[in-house]
Amino acid sequence: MINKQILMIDDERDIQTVARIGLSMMGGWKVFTANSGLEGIRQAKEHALDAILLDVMMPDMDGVATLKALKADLATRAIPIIFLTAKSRAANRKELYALGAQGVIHKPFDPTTLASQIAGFLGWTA
Amino acid sequence: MSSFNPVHVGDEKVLDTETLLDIAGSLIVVFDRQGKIKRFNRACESMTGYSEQDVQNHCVWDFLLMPEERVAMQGIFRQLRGKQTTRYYESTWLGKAGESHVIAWSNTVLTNRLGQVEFIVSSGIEVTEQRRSRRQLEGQYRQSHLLVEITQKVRQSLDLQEILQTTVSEVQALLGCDHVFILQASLTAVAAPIRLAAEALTDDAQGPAQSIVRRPWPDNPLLRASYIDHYRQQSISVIDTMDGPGVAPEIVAVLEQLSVKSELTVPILISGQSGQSSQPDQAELSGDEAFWGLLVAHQCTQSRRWSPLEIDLMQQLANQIGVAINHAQLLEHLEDLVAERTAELTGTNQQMRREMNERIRTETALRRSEKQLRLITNALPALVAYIDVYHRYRFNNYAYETWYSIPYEQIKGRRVSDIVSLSVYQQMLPYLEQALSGEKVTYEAEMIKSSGEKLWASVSYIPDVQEGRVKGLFSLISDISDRKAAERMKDEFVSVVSHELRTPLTSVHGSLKLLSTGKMGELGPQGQELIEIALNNTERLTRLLNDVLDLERIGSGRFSLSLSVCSVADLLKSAVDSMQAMADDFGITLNIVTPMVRSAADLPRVESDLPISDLSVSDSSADEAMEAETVTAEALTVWADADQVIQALTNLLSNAIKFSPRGGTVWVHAKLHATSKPQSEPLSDTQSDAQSDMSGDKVEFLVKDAGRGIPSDKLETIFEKFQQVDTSDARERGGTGLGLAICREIIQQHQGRIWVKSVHGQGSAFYFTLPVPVDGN
Repeated sequence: MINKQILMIDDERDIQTVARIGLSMMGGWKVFTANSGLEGIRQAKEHALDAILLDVMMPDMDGVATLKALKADLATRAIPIIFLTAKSRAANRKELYALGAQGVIHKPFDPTTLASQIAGFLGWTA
Repeated sequence: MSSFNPVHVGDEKVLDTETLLDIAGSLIVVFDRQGKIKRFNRACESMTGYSEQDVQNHCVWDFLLMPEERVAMQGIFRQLRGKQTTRYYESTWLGKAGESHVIAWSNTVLTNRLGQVEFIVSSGIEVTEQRRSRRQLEGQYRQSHLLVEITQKVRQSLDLQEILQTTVSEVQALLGCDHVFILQASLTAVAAPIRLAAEALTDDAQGPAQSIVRRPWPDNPLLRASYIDHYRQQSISVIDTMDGPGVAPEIVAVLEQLSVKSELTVPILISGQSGQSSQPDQAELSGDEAFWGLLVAHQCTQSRRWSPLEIDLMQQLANQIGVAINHAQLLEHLEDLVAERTAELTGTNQQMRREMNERIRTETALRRSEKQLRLITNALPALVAYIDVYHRYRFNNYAYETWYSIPYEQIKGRRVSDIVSLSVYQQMLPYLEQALSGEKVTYEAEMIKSSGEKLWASVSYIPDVQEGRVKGLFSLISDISDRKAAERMKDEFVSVVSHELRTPLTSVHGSLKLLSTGKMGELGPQGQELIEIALNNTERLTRLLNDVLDLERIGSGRFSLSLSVCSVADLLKSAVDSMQAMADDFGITLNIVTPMVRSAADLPRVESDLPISDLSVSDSSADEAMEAETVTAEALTVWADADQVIQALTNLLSNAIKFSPRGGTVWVHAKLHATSKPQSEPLSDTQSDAQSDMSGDKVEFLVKDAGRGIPSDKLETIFEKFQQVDTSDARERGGTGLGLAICREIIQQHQGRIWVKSVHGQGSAFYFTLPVPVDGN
């Protein structure tokens, strides 16, 4: 599960930081961060990513729009996307899966188990 | 006398005046100016039986003239004396034998030189026979005329009684009879009454015919058995004198009692073919014609010889009476038919009038009721209308008029499609049809008012079902734009709160979690303890936030379940798996007790681990009401939203874990209950949801612990928000006081029930039911 490169797209820098520290500390992964959907799309094309952690609620371009843009682009469409959402509704989760997400993690998440959660969704083993 | 010169043959006088008078065939009388008879020739003597000597010097009015003519004759003579010529006249003389002679006279006046009347010579011819013939002819004429009159009356008049009475009166007058009457008689009925139909009589008749009528057939002399056959053959009974041939002595005896000298009896027969006889027995007597009665004429003063003419007249009159009776009977039948029909029509008319009055009353009441209804509904802000099965408005309130800017009169009776826009009509059509099929419908839709204003409306269609048939629907439309706006604001608020609270919580919680790992450097014991406190409270805040948001979402009424067929075993396993970590932390064993994982024999033991029968319950006899049935877990399914059911189960499991002693066990169990009737629950709605419980098969879930239990005084409110057994639970056990309220909301959404049995200090058992899929769902 080492040497994974993850892009964290969230407009909350604190959450970016918590997630980045948790993933690097617990999983040893390299984490790129982006503050918006547009920046995330740009970075997704720059790095060889194993997965993208994508916040749903963001100003300007929200998570769903960002996912659609990523899935619409040949360069990024293969990157697994896992949503981070503050909403707990089951219906939301189903909608997000229906859009093509590989997993949905609810906020507040546990940074110490975040890496194993992602690995579980994507079938990564140690 | 006149200077009549005698005729001589030679010297012999062969013809003188005297001789001339005597040989004349005519009646010749010579009167002096006083009217005394001077000459009375042989012809006069021969006719009257008086000799010239008998009458000489007597006036003609002394004895020769009929008494009633004497005064008139004196007048004639006065005129003759005054030379006022009354040359011709007729007078009736009475002969010596008392016979009468009608004589037509011609007079010649002889005067003297002074021009004074000296003698009056009357020459006459007896015309008695001529006058009798003339009277006969006149009688025949009158008879014919009478017959014609009566025939016409029969043809024209519809009044039988009038015809009968006219007949007897005319016959009595024409024939100069003393008594004429008509009897109606039934010949077959024993002691049947004889009816006197009409009667005309003179003073000479010995009383009315009632004395005859009172004698019924066959004792009646007129209706003797031996006569009847004759009558039926239209034979006429003619009795000129009582001592005449063929008159039975008993008849004579009866008739003499009535002073009857002569009798003429004619049968009245009526047509038996009419089929309308009021006396069908008569019609039976003689195929074509039936005996009806008799036309009888009596002569009481003297016997008379009934002439053939009179007999024929009576016969013809009887025939006409028969025709009249037939007409009358036909008329009576027609009148009966008319009366019957009239009665029917009258009845129908009255019925129609009653129905019309009833309808008018009903319509009046309806109008009044509608007026009152309009008054009431006009005060409502909602649009209220009644729509019939043809989609026509039958009633609407004022709000409808203002909404569509159309006056009431122009809405009532018009089709919905004429009032609302096409798009709105298309939108509402399936709901209308659904309601008109008998199903209550409620939906929300965005609508456009006539002003162009857009708004949200809640529409309810309530079918009007009368005697099992849908007559129409009541339409209620409420403007819910404000509510919709409030809901949007609330949604936005919840969304913002959800995001804005979770975001900082995520950062705080994540940071604390990372710090607590010690990988950032070891903290002292107190620092570690503070980190734990911060973490616990962050998690508690997160749970509270989640619970509040969940409760709001589920209880808002806008939350819709994602129902599907769910495996009960999977639900239990998912819930237990998600709670396993917590159970491990608390040192609790989670036990799924299903027929699949435990033998059926184990079940009673598991149930008996708790003294269930001694438990105070918040739902009294649920177990007794339902009969459990063992079904393998794979086969056990429910019609539910899996995520919601798992949440309810995890809430219950969480409570059970938290309140069980370390090392204890929490049991989870599900079983099928085949029952067809809702359970009767004596408990308040706050605890059990009996009203929302579904009938039919259901699966009963049980989460049971052997923890501290719930005091009986808390059982009442345990499912209410923020109701905890101990206020310190929130702090010490990390509870929010919302878990059971959320459970209740979730189960209610599934039309299920939730209840609890508990003994304080011994444990609690939480039950809930969910429906099993029906018809594939």
